[in-house]
Amino acid sequence: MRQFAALLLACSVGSLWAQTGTTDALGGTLRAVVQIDAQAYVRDSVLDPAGDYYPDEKALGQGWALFTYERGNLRMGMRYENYQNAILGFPTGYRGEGITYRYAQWSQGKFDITVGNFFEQFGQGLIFRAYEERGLGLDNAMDGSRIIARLPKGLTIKGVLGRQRVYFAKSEGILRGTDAEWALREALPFLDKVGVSLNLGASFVSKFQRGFDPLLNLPANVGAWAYRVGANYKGFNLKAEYAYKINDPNFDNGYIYKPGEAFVATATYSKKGLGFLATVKRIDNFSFRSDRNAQQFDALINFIPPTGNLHTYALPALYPYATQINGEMGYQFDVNYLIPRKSLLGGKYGTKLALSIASSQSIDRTPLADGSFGDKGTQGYQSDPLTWGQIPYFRDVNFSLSRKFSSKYKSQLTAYRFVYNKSVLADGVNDYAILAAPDSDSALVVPALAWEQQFALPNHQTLRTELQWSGGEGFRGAMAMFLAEYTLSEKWVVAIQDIYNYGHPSESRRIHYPLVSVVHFDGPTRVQLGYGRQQQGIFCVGGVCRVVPPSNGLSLSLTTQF
Amino acid sequence: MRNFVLYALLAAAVASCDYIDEPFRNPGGGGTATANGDTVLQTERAVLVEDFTGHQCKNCPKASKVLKQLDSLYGSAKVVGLAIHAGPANFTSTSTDYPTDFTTDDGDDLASVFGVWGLPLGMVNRLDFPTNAHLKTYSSWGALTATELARAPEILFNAYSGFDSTSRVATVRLDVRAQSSQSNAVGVAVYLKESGIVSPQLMPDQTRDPNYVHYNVFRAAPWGPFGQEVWAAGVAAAGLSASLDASATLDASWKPEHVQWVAIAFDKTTYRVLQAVQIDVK
Repeated sequence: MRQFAALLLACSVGSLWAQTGTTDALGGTLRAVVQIDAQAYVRDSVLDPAGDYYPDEKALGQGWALFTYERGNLRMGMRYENYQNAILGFPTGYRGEGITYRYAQWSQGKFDITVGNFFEQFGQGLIFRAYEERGLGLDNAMDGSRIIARLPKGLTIKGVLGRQRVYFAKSEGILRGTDAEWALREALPFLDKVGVSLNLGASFVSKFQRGFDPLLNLPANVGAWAYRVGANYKGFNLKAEYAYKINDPNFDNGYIYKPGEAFVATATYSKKGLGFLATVKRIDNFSFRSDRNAQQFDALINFIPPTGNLHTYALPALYPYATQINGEMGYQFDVNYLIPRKSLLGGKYGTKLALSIASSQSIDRTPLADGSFGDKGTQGYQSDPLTWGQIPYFRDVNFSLSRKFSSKYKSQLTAYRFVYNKSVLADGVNDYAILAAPDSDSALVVPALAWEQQFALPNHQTLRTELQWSGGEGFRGAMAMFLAEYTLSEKWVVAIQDIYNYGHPSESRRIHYPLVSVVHFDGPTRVQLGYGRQQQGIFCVGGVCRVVPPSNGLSLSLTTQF
Repeated sequence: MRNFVLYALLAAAVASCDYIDEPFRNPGGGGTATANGDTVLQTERAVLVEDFTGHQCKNCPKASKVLKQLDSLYGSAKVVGLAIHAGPANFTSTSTDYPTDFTTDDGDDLASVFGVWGLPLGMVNRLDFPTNAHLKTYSSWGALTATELARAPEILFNAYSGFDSTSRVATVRLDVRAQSSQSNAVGVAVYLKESGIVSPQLMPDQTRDPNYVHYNVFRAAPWGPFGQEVWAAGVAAAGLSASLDASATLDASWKPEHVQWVAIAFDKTTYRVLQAVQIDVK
């Protein structure tokens, strides 16, 4: 997982561009980022006895290259992608090759105009977020037009129009959206004087999809709107957004007509050595897609921010939380504290403590007055916004202690306790089925530990080790993991790891998952070669998840830019 | 300027929302008393496993168990089970100990066409018909199902169901989407099946289980056992689609919440099943 995070980081385009690019005679600059991933699979009769996941192709590969040209106020770009075929775990909708992203953007004065493809977000994304997560295979880029007007007194207006990308095609629905954000600090100078920053925003998005159904009277135009506020005073920061969506019967909600609502608020406070974060969230029937029949993460118009930490250690990351777009209530509280350096407890360099508590639960759902409950072509259910539902989805309490003992050694210990509702998060069982058969869901309690150490060695070499353990009865069972990552030089890193699933409920699955990898850096180029077993799991970014099948084989990843 | 923006936002909001008032159902689309139904949108191949069975057949629970195992292994989206109570009368007839009549005329027709001579026997996608190797014992269903599931889809269904609790009329719309060319004519048949029926069954140890739960029981074939032709020979090609509607009035003894539609697309010459789908009536 760490390597994966590093790979994503290496691929993040913006941060690397500053050093690269080719300037032409007209003063324009051309830049490119290229990534190639390939995997050759080995038939592993222990990992996959029936060969269900072993691909017919035996080797799979995919790649992309993003080219950007900038000259003065003009910016143009295109991305070529190829999948022959998509590597295991990546959505199989990616098949073939072509130019999937091209745009021209012109900025002048108050206006910024884009035609072609673009990514955009209104507020926190509750009603509109066109974005990509390359690692997940999620890309819902818009293809159309966007106008951004930066008006005086801190007012910014955005307008978008277009259709969303769905693999190599486009979603059936048309999107129209507008957003206004007002930075009051620029209009009201006294706020500036007292050090208060206050932003107000409102947005509206509508989708159009022809409504043909033999049984239902479908809305062709579905609108959603949101209001938000952001405030900042000294170390305090608050942002809150409320969104509402009109009747939107779709595959996710079982074609019910109940309007949707979403609310997310986050408050943070930080000062030297101390930080707090508190988030509350309530989502009620808020799946919003430009194709009402779409599934997985196809044609998603909006994004519901997750509550909870994204865990990067491999074993805790096997229990990720997937945002429940049909309804959830949750909260998160984080505290970070640095015990001052040169104190009795803090030691020479200080000691970092972090506590995080996150919880997500179902919303209150009761049958309609006529007794129907979640039935297609009805209002679906009733819900009291202030009442918690009965089904726990996910709880995560984790505490970490990190300390640098000397210039040559630092260590971090993290303890976790998850409550993971496998029925909801892994098997996709809905609330109605669980409420009809109470206690039929399986909420697992999983404790876990991760201990990371870093040793600085002579000649600028470093050694990083991880020892991890996760427990729990049933499902995956208990696991132990060891990782050693040896940085030989600026150019070479070698890593070896093994996960032993010694407590799996099925004896035949109590197996090792060894993995060795070599990473080579050469200027802007990064090449990673790995060989070993990949465990079956769920991979999530920002609460959006996909299933990763088990595999065994050789993988190659190359990233470069110029 | 700001007023203009506000007015523009307001106008856009009002113009771009279709508020739907009750009833949400289309007139004639299944009534309004209780609007129910389901939607299944296929993206991959599903396999039909037919189990010819009888409540006085002692080895038949073993075959039902295999069907249940396949269902739990692959899920109902990929394996469509159908338990047809038909075949030799000594296994399927009623008696004081086995009072429920699970047999149907359509089921008997299927058993007759496929020459069911003993129980339990079954077919996986009706493969190998009519070579007399098409009737398979339950021990082979798992491997055949896996082989069939590994093949690229030839036809996919989108299915939309609805149910009117007053009239007990169940409706289903089937969008049939060809994924590859077919040289022979293609037919579509629709069946109704019911699960969760508690009724006596003779068990492998020769005992009678009075509370045995029967699953996937074939109930009716509204278009007849072999349905209707969708595409004539040589017509079906990738990208071609067709829409079909079926309806049936559920018998008063059937529990709608346990009844499912089963639809199959099949090669009209070889009877090989090209795709199957199941969808809840309610």
